[in-house]
Amino acid sequence: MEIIVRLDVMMATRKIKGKDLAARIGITEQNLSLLKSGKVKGIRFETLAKICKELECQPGDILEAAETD
Amino acid sequence: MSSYNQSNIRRLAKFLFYVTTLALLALPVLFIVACTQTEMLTEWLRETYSDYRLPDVISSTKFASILAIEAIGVFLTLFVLWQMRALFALYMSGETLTERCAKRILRIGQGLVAVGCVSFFSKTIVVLILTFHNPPGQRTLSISFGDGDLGFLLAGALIVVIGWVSKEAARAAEENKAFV
Repeated sequence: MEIIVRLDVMMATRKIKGKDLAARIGITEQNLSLLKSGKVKGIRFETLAKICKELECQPGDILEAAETD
Repeated sequence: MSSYNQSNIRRLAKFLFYVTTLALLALPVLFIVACTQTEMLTEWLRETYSDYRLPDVISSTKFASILAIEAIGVFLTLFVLWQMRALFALYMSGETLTERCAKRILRIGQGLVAVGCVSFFSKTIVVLILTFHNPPGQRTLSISFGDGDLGFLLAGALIVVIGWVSKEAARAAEENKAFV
């Protein structure tokens, strides 16, 4: 089981740019990019809450658990 | 880490970097100069080891042996200063909770423990050298443990522990970086 980050899908749905979202939630564009690509060990509840607030969504809309091959 | 704290670390580290650099340059020079001042050294030896029956004339061989033993302590002190200088250079560049800093702290602690041990044994050996050619019954084997030795050993051991703790802190900081 692995966690897949669907942030890019949510951002496209909400038509928000990475640069704008990073500025609004107070993280660097580089970190947001790492988060989108899933190249991070974890996400803080604080960051997740800010993303959910900005994108008006639930954590489940951003994160998805999927079976590994 | 707050920017105020970081700027304090950088400022003090910069000052200490120059102090340790100066000490690194001055210590060997002072030691070499002291080695050439035989009269001053004789006076110092007689004062330091006034409790023991020292020979009227201290031979050049004994002098050389004593200086060689003292040189070990100087060399170890230089090692500790070199490690401190390297640590302050890292702090100056803004690197604090890293594996490299922890390694330097650990080496400083180990160096101080070694200075304490050498200081403890060197006194015994110096007294033995000085009294070695005394008539039988007047040769001395002295084992003493002073405040200075204990201070170095305790400070060194404390810094070794801080070094290990810093390693753990560096690992935690590295892990924290992987979280967004």
